[in-house]
Amino acid sequence: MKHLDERVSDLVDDRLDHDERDRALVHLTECAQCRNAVEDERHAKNALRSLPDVAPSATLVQNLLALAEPGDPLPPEAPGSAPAPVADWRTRESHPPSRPGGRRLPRRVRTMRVAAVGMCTSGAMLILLAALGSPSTTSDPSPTPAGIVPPVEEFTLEHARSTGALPFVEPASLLVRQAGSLGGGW
Amino acid sequence: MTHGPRAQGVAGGLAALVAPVLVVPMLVGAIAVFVHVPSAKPVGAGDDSYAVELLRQSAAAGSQVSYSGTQYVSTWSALAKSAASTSAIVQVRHAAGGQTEIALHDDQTAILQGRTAASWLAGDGPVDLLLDAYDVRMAGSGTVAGRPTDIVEARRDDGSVAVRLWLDRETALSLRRESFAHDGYPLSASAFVEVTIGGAGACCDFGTTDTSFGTDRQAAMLHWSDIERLRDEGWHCPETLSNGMVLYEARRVGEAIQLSYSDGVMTVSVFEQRGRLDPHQLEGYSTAEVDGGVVYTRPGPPARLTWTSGGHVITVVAEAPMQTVESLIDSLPPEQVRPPPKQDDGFFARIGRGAQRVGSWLNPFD
Repeated sequence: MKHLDERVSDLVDDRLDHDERDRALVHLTECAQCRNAVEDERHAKNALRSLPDVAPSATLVQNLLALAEPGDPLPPEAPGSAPAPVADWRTRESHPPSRPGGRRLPRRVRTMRVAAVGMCTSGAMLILLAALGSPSTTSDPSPTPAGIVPPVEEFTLEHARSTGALPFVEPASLLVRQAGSLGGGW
Repeated sequence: MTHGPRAQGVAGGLAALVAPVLVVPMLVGAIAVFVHVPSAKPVGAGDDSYAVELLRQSAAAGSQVSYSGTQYVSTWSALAKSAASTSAIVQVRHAAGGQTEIALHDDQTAILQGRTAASWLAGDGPVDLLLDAYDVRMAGSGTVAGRPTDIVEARRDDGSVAVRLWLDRETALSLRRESFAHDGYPLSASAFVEVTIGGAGACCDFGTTDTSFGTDRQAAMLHWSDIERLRDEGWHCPETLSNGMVLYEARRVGEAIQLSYSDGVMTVSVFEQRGRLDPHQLEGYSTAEVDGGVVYTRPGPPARLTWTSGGHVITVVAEAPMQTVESLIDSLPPEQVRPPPKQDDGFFARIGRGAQRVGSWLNPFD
């Protein structure tokens, strides 16, 4: 069996189930390193329990209550001041249980959960990228440069004028253009 | 009877006088025969010299004769080749050596300037354009507006009549004109129904005169040096078109270049503009697919076509057989219409494009 590592705390806090607790105890009979770790954990826990409760001062309580009241801005934090202790040291038993019964999930389950969350996140990312890369959203954003619309009527008039240099040509296009501009029928 | 030395001396003196008189013209004649000095424009093998002379007189008549009158003009569409013609009665007034005013419906007048040496690019005169492209011959006589005329025909190499002109016998002015395509399809016809030769008096109410003509137009004229420079800058500016159409005038029209071509009878104007055609704003045009490209057409008359070629918008106004325009399209082919690139629609390809797009958002240098 591997070393207990972080399960040392669970063993000391009696948060292992029956089978795990048995396996941990069996391991302690063989492993002096883990046995020492458990002893150190228990000593530390007992030392913390033996500390007296610290009662907050009345000033601190009033200041805290004043912070909750509306109106005044928060007082500026004094430079270099260390945060004052506001609560008693609490042992791990006082932490809210992560799940009903206060049992911590096994490592394999947690690993699987982390993997599942990672896979879901990756899948969502891929779907998002695929949506952004759909053909409708990646069409050429630069259409044909400014399109030219030739002034054909003006060009027709200029064509007719250019025929003035020719003795055997009729400027018929000029007359057509004028008829059109005048709205008169031919 | 014998001749004495005096008689011999007189005879010798006559010979000395006569010989140079005879020999010099013979030598000049020999030079003229064996050393061919080309004339300004030789008459073609198929040309009738009298017809050529009449045409030259007619081309010069505008500088010597003033006239005014009423004329009808009809045109047909070379593009649609429908039997329907478009016609009008116009008032014409010309001052000798000056401009020609043409009024339609006594309302609006257009002014046509004559040929100026500064703007003429074709080298030879307009009559020579006609003689280069056609064979001319006499085709009888007739009467137009009560005046006797000689009829001159210009024929193509295939024998088809390109134009028939009724030239006033007194002044050589062209009083009636008919032009045809290769297959005999009429392109235009005009004739004076009434004409007054002499001082261009106030025969007609010419209404509002188009004054946007004259100095500005002359200032916009281009010369060969300008055309060479434009070609270096990527403009097409062809020097000739098919069927003997020669560039005779070029000028700037706004941002466009107008190139005027003629064979003395037919005319084509080619307008070039930088850029690409925006077909969505063209109204009343039909489309014709040419070698994968699109040409937008209006049958007219006159036939008008526009397309994009080589980064330029080409617009053609043609009073000429369609073969000429078709060969122009062949030489300046329309840009091929490329379908939008087909994208890989696979899942991974889309992911790649999406990643590139997100990357472009995050790239501050993009």
